[in-house]
Amino acid sequence: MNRRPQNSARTTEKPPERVKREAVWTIVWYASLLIFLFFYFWQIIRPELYFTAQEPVFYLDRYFLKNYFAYPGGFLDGFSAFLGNLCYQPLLGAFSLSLLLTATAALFSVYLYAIAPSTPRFLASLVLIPLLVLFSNYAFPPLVPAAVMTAMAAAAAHTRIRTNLGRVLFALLAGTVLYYAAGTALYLYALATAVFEVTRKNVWPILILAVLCLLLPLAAGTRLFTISPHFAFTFPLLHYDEEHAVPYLLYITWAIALFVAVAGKRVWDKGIFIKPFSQIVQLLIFLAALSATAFAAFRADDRQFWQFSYFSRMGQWEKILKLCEKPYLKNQQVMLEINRALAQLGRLGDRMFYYRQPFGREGLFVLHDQDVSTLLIRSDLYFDMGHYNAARQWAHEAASVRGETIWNTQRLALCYLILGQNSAAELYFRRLEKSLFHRGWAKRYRPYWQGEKSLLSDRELAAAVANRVSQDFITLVLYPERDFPHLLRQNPRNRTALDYMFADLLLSKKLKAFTDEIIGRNLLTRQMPRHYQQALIFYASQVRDLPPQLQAFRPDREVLNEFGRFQALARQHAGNLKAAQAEFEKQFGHTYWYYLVFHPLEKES
Amino acid sequence: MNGPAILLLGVLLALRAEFANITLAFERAATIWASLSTLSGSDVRALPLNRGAVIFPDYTDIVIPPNIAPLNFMFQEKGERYQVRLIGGRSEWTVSSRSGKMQFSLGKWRRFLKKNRGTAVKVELFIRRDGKWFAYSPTEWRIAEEPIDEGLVYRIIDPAYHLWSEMGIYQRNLTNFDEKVIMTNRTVKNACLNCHSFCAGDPNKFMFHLRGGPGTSLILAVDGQYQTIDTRTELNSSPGAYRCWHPDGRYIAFSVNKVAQFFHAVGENRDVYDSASDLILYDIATNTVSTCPQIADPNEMETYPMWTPDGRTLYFCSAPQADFSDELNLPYDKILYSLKRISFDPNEETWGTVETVIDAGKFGKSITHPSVSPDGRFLLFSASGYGNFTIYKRDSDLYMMDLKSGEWGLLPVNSDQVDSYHSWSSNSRWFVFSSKRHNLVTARPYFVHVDEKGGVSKPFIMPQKDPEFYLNFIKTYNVPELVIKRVPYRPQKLTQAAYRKAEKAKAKSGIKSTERSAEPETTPWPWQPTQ
Repeated sequence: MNRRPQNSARTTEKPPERVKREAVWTIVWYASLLIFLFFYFWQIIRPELYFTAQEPVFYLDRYFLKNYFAYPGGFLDGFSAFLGNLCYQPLLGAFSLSLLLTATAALFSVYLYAIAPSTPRFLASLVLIPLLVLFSNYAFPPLVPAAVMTAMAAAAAHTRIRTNLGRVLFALLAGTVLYYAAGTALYLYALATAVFEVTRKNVWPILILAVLCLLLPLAAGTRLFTISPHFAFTFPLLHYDEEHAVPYLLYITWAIALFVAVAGKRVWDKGIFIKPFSQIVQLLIFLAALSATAFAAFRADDRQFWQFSYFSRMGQWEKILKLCEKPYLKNQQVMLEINRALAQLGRLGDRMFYYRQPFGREGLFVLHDQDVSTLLIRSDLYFDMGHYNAARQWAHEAASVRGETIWNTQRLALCYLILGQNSAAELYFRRLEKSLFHRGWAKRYRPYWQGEKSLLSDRELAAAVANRVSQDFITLVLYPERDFPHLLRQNPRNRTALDYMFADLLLSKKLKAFTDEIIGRNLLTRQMPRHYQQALIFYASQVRDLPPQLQAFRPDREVLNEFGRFQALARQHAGNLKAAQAEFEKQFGHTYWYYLVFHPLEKES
Repeated sequence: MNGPAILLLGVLLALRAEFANITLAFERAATIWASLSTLSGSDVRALPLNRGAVIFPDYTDIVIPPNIAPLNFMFQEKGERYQVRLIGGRSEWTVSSRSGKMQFSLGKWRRFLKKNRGTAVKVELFIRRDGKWFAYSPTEWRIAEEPIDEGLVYRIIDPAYHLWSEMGIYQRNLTNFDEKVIMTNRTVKNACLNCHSFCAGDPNKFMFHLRGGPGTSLILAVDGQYQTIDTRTELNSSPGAYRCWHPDGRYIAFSVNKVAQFFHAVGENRDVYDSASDLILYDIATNTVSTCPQIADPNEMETYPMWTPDGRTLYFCSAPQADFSDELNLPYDKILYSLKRISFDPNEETWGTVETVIDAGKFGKSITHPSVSPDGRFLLFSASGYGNFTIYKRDSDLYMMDLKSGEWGLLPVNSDQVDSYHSWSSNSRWFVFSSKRHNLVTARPYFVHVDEKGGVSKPFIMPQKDPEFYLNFIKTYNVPELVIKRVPYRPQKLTQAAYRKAEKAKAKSGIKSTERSAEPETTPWPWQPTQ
């Protein structure tokens, strides 16, 4: 940014060469920041994960957009949702977020230079540090940075007005517009303006903005809008559901930078910080500071959690299992994603106990809500099993809690289409046709809900229709096991339901029921999944009156040998298996036997 | 010119054997010629298509109030240009469009309705394809003499399951397209707002329930005064739920219900049953609750109270108390609610004896939402295969009883989808009801004209400025209530009332509880993760 004198009577004109040099340095400085931030967002934060965590709701629809004009700060809220949506495309998202942050720093510098023209650049860019922290845990929408940027834009514009009267009028107009568009970003603008006007000894804009800061939220919260006074006085800068400290860190940093810029004016005026060597050192130190902040604030666990969710949402099942090759997060939802990946790849019965299953059935179904994403994940599971009524129920629940996000709307559209309720499906497909990046997906289904094409003409839809339930039963979220007999009675070839039923019986340690189901469904073959064989061998070793089919069963030789070794170790530690758990885990942690012996049995829900 | 042309056309139609009856052929010919000769006032000739146009919303052959907002609609036919010609008894009006969306100017519309009030308007629809104009078979709008109440109050919610976040109570001015918020839950920590109600359509006497957020309470706004009441007393551990104001404004009859929600694997998956319910009477003047064994019978589940306009009879629905102890074998589909009534003396506050008006066992259906017309002549009710939560029942239909003759029957306004909650206009000539007929998911308000003899017109959906609105709006309209004019209460004041400490209602002395269990209600609450 060009350092432009505000009062020509007090400052001397800079030589053109110096102006040119400073312009070049300005470009280098902000381009460097932009590039750094871009790579940070693109490669470390990963915008697609940010999108997964936020699931921002944004449609190019008149009725949808109208909502954003119904409360102060709504315009910015809509802009934030738009930015969040761009993150669906990683490059676009990374560029938008880095541009937002760089612009915030640049506008702050314009404002600072108006007060202290020789302020070093790093001071103006200090706000980037808390902004990076803000983005590191995927919890905050881009709303706060956008509000800070808007306030800084208004403050920068304010400082460019030369006459006192002009600034008074600008404060009145910009203050009002800013409050309507960006809510309490007005406070930040008012504070910045107050500091600037103190240096200009012009009290009127300060008074006007002080009155606006008080009256506008008061009027908005009590008369003009349907919002609570608390909301009117806090949204968006002071309005958070969680982690209050991070945005306040931003405001404190902003205030400190402003204070240091003003207090150190004499030091900056000596020109030490505008020498070329100094500029290079500043840039390098600042980038190092940003890197250190990024490193310290980054939450690898959060990223991994959303990485699992993202791969699952995208159907990238192998990538989920690849993530598990390194130490991974132990969490019920992550476990559910791993089991779901195994089921999708047809390996649930062969591989599920390689992942220890520390949460038992909770890691298979997530029976209890963990966070806002649980609801749609539950819908995913029911959808996989062809239980479309339950899938749509949980998608509706997700939409009630999170708004009509892309993913729950897609789920609803597909559920209604598969259930043959085309006019209901139309409602959701039409919605998606107004999305930024999923309109193509939605339009593909137009011929189906319009009745021009049969669902059976599409391979995936035809498979979904085949799984559709036709006989009613009552379904309860806490008892998914009660649904399996119904689902399988109507479609015995429902592979996912079958896999989950067996997995559930194994995790519940209901070996008799498991054995009966295997025998009843004529699945007793040597090619049956490894964990099934392990369960049957164990059951056979414990029960006297075996069914004849099980007596005749010859399991895989390798599994049998492994069980022999397991029994030998058990005999060796008879009476105190718990003490030898580490040894068992080392040798047999990947087997059902280990789970069976060492996983505590859940209480019946 | 008209005579020979119609003659020629009639002969041609008869020769083409389209009409077995020669009179019909000539009538048709007259219709076609009328549409040809009036198109744009020019000499454009439109070829008959011999079928009705597909338009959305379906505004064909309906009776409309003389004060209704413009019935904007759109053609669902592919064409280059579109035209609609309204031929009333006293004036004509032609509107054209390139997009197929027919949006009438509000001022002209009002003048047109005023001029043609009480007459039938012929609605001619034209389309231009490949440079040629075609005429659809005309339809008719009959403009009734009787206006509809100016306001419609409804709740806008997501298609509700167990959880919710945002909802609000809104009022729509039916004479134009203005929609204003009365209250949203954004200001009350996303609490559930429900069962909004007015005393005989008077917008000054307004109530709704608040669940969660600042607290469980009944918000009363009566003639500019706000009250926050906790209706739970030693008589009723659950707060008042389904409600009906006594016409004199002093009492509100409430049901107190123990509600459970469950889900089906096929069809409409949401379902609800009450495992217990009673009726109570709340006295606004004394802030007291009373009841009596007749309306709080331990062997019955009473619900949906409805006063007659004279306030001397209370209609309600009641089913024998069912046994819900076997969780795996719930008798939800065996519960049938009968329509009953009981006399009431508002001066002495005494109750008579219960009479069964329609026995559900004989009817074979379960009756809910009784609603007496303000003139006391008709009683509307919903009926479905079982239970009492008709908005989740695809087989729910509207029935009407003539209280003068006692005759009742299915109304020809029903669809094969949910047709449920209803509310009368203050002049008893209109009612509004909720229907999911369009997309099975979202309920929309439909209006019906009722003549003095109980004859009803084809329902039409609440008009919107943009005819495409309902194809894009994914929220549901819940509990439509007609009100005489604008509700004067502001959301800010209602929010303040919501945050006020609720005044505890007291049980009227000398009344013993007949409640079967002291368990609190099981109304679902806003979503909270378990961790």
